[in-house]
Amino acid sequence: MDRERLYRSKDHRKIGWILVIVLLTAALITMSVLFAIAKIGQMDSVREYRALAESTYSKSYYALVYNIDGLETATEKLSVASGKATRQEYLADITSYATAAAENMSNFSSEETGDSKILKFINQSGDFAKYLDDKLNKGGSISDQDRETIAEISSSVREIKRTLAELGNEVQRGDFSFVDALKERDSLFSATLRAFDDKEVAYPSMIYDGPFSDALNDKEPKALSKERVDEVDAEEVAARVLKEVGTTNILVKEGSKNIFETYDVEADTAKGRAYITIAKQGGMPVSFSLPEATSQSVAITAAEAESFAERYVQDVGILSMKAVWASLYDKVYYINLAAYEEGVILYPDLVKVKVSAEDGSIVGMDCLNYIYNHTARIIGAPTVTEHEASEAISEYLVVSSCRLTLIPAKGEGEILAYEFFGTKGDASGDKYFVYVDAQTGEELKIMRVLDGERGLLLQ
Amino acid sequence: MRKFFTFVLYIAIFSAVLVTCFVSEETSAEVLKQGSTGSLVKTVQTKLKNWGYYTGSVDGIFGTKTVAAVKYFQRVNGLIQDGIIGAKTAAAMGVTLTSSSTTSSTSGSYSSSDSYLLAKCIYAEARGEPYTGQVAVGAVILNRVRSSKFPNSISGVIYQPYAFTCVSDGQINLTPDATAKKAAQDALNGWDPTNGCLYYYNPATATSSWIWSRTVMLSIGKHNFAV
Repeated sequence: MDRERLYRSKDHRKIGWILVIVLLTAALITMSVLFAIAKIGQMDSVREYRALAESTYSKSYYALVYNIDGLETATEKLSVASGKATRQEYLADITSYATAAAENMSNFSSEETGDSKILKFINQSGDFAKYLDDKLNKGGSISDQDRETIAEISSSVREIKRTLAELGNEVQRGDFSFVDALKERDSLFSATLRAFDDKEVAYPSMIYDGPFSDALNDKEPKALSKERVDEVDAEEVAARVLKEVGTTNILVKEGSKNIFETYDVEADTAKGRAYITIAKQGGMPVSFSLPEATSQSVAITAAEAESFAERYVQDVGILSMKAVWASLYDKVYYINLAAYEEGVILYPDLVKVKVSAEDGSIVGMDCLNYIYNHTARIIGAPTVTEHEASEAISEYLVVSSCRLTLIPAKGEGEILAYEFFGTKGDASGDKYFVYVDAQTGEELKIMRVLDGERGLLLQ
Repeated sequence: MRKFFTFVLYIAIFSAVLVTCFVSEETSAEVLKQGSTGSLVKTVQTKLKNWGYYTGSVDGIFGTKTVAAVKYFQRVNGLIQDGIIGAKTAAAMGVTLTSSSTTSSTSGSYSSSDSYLLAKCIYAEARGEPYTGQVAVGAVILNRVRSSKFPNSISGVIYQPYAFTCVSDGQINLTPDATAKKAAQDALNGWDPTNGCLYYYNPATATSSWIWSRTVMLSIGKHNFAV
């Protein structure tokens, strides 16, 4: 009996051990399986993200090849086109292919600097084509110099296309990865892209008027006088700018040295910290902001805000300004004021003033456009009468007012134009500003008034 | 059971947010439709004509013939046939709907989503910097948009590979605070404390030797601004 009991207890112990081992093994296996599943899941999502990135890059790459191809065809066709319609067709093609190619190209910059010679070339090519299209529209012709530029653009585009084709062999390799190739500075792909921006590569220089023309880089602050002010003067200017809110602790620091030198001034006011930029030449305020000022309600009208803004700029020392546009956003009126001379609104000489809609106080100002554009000009008399100009207006617009304005031309220069304000005679009741050249009677530009989430905008 | 309801509620909120995102994107984007006029319409007509979708004249007026051609193009390209050129149809045609004009007379040439994106980048790159320094970062981004050497939209500039560290390390996805939003507004309104600078870097952490070769025009807080 005793022996039997002994055997039985030994058996129990044995079974106990076996059970422990089995359980431990099972736990280990379960954990390994779970771990493996998690790992596979993780690898799957990494693979998935990678595939997504690869496909995004692939799309940009193939679109780039397609658009450079289109750009080449269009420039080549343009070089042999002689009719106005065909020329304009290929010029429009160049602009749209270049716009798209620039967009694709920007996805591949591998330099932290971001600035890119090839991007500049593509952007300018599109811009140049637009300029030529405008020129043809106005009855101009393509000059010999333009033709040379087109030939140069064409040859640069051919070169880019050839290089991209070479890269095609690399990209089409089965194991090619855009992600790896872009990360690896020495990869053929990265090196080829970098070569497009190489110092040695010469792209044609294009002389024209357009938003991307080099001429715009050399702009001068026309409104600034030659005399320089010192820090004490800057403090006085700041106090004048902030007269309404009162200032304490004015602190003048050196500002930017680029294009024209400035002082950065900070001060404490009843409405929080104020920030003012003042030009050293002439002590003209460039910008000012009271970012901590808050508006809780809309208690004043746009017309009141306009008159506050007009009075304010005059007090600051910017004379003969007229409010031309008011827009309400986040309980702040954004008032645009333009210089006004001999009955003509000078749109390039623009000052923007922010007025609190709660109490009409001035909470910000920007004079950069005014500084770059305001100068003594000779404004010629219009050769077309208002009545003659109105003939250019669409029959679908009911015109309610007209005035003479100076508007910025595309690129550089200014044009004297009649500004007609009208409402579309249909259910939409949309409002438009239409500009008609006061010398030629030609319709120049249409701006649509848009009542959007950021207040009234012009589109 | 309660958990199930909470789950259903989450899903509902999530879908509502998703739908709102899509709807607002659709409606806020610029479109070309019947009645639109201008050089962009001309570009579209030229393209449609070249591809054989359009037989009318290239007059820059979006009329019924253009609508029919756009619908035809949309059908062939598997797009929704509404005859309106929105973002997707424009992309399929290879046209860009926003113009790159720099002579805007209002602060309204950028949309509110652009303004929010700008605020996000300012917050990620320059939170904790003096206010003027935050506006300056926004101004550099806008100066790049205007420059031919950089992409031509705020999103293009910000998401240009390797251009901003906050994009590479994901900080761009942080929610901007009120100060960054104000700074974005001030930059969009025209304030540029840098007077046209295209670069900035933190001299304490910048590793690129190239950036040191640029001329520093201004220092605010931790950043040097350069051309």
